[in-house]
Amino acid sequence: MNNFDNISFKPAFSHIYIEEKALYHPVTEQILQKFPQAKQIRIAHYKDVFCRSRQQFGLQKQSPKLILAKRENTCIYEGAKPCQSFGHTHFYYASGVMNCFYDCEYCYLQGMYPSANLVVFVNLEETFRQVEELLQKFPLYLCISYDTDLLALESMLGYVRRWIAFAKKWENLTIEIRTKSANYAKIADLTPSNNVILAWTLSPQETMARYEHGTATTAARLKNAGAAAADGWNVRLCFDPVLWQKHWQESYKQLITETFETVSPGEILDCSIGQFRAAKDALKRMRKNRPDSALLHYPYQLQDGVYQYDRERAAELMGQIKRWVENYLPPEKIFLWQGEE
Amino acid sequence: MIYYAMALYPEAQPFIWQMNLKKRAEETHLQIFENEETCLVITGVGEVQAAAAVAYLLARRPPKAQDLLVNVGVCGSERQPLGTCYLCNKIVEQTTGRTFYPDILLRHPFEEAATMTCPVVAGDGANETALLDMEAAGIYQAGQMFLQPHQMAFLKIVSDAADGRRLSKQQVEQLVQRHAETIIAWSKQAQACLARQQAELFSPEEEKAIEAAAAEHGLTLTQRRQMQQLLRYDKLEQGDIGALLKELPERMESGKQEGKQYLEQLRQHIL
Repeated sequence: MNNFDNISFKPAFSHIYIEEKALYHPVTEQILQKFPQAKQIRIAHYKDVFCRSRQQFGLQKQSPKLILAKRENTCIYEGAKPCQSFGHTHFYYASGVMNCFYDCEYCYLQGMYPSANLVVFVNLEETFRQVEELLQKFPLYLCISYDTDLLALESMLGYVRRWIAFAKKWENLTIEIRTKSANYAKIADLTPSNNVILAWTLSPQETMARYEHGTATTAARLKNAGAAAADGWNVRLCFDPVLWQKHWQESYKQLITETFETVSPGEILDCSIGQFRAAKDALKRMRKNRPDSALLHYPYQLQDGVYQYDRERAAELMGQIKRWVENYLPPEKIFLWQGEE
Repeated sequence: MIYYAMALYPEAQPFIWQMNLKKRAEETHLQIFENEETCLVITGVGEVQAAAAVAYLLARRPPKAQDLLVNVGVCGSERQPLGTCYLCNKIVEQTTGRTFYPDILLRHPFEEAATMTCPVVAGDGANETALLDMEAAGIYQAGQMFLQPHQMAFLKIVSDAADGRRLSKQQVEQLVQRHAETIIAWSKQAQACLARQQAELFSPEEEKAIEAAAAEHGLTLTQRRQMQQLLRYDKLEQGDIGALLKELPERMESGKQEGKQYLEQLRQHIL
């Protein structure tokens, strides 16, 4: 093989790094069976690979590797300021997988993690144990698909099914499963639960095509959301992040029209609208990782430690989209992220 | 630039010959050979010598984001077939137990294996990794001060069964010779692929024009950064900033503009 004219990146998960502690876990075995061609490399601790210095996130995203590990410390964290709590007092998120299979240009993960490789914590049972501990103290609103897209990984992991089964046992637990996938079919056979929210992030199709690399099309997501709502699931629609771009009025008006033509407004639990925002240091890292992204290099304004559109532009963008959504949903079902909540 | 690091001259000789590298006579501490796009150093045997030589080379010729460091050498293995060339996906430093993981992002024609870098020819713990070598861990640690994990490749050719048997210089040269052409061709293409990914946004002419505009309007260092940011966004969004840089001063009020005013006009024009 001396002709390398078309040298390209290795496929995703060409290499799987496995912590010695995770070697014989059933989830590890299940994942390894899915990738028989992958090179398996034993490691002492996931941070030996994930936290190496000077990794190139942008290039790694073109050939992400998988790291299988066992979580031994905290798996549940309090929700951060830029995340919406939807009025819940005890808002937490679980980090069972670090990093996402998709490659959205605006994703905050590229400013948060030192590596684009995916870490899967195979001992989900430990997360369940920690959630149970918190549930003894107070009711919990828990986002389980924030630092990843769990439904996108369902064929590989099956974690969404396990979370839904777990939630059935705890009335004082509400979980949100957010996705940009069209994988509803993977869980469509399950009985809908009152305390499980399936949330789809929605963007105009041209935004999806330009910035949300690898994700399902807007039409496919809408079809999934419609099917889930019709089956009786709590469905949340997230117009988040809303992005300012040329012809944004036409794009978002069309998206909102299409959304409520596909998903019956009466079957929607609620809807969130949030403008693009990124913590100061995170955006700096995101820009470094993606020097070719116009979206990230837009001259955002720094307000309260968070980069966002200037107030005038944000008000115009958010106000208009809210008004369009109000044509279909009552105000109490619309949650906004516009600076301070 | 592709940087090659080999412990011994017989490991380097096929590369020197095939790429027609010329020895740098002024380098008296180390043997360094180069042409316009390649630089090869003969490090000497062992981790410390290898690390010192690579650090010296990279400090004297600082690498860019698209450059590549390739370590080629013979190694021992109890299990792997003689003559096979492996790309190392894990490097264990025997003396400390530390591990290093080069990022393997690009397709390649080699087998992959883990290597353990040992201070003597045949070390204990041979069962832990497939290969045993004497330089990789040192080269990785020196290299990571200048390079990212995907910019380093470690290629090891099995020459013996890690039993202490010594090969003649000619035998080593022949073993390496078999793989040199493939390694050279792959390295060049890998480096070209990285270069495509890391292309500079602004052309040299645009850089000059930006600098001239900044000087003309008396921008401070912070304002220059803000200007770069605005123009970067505009170039990414519009594909060209030439017209903007030419026409904007004409649209401004006559007389010397304050940097702040210029930046604000630039911002309004772009957004």
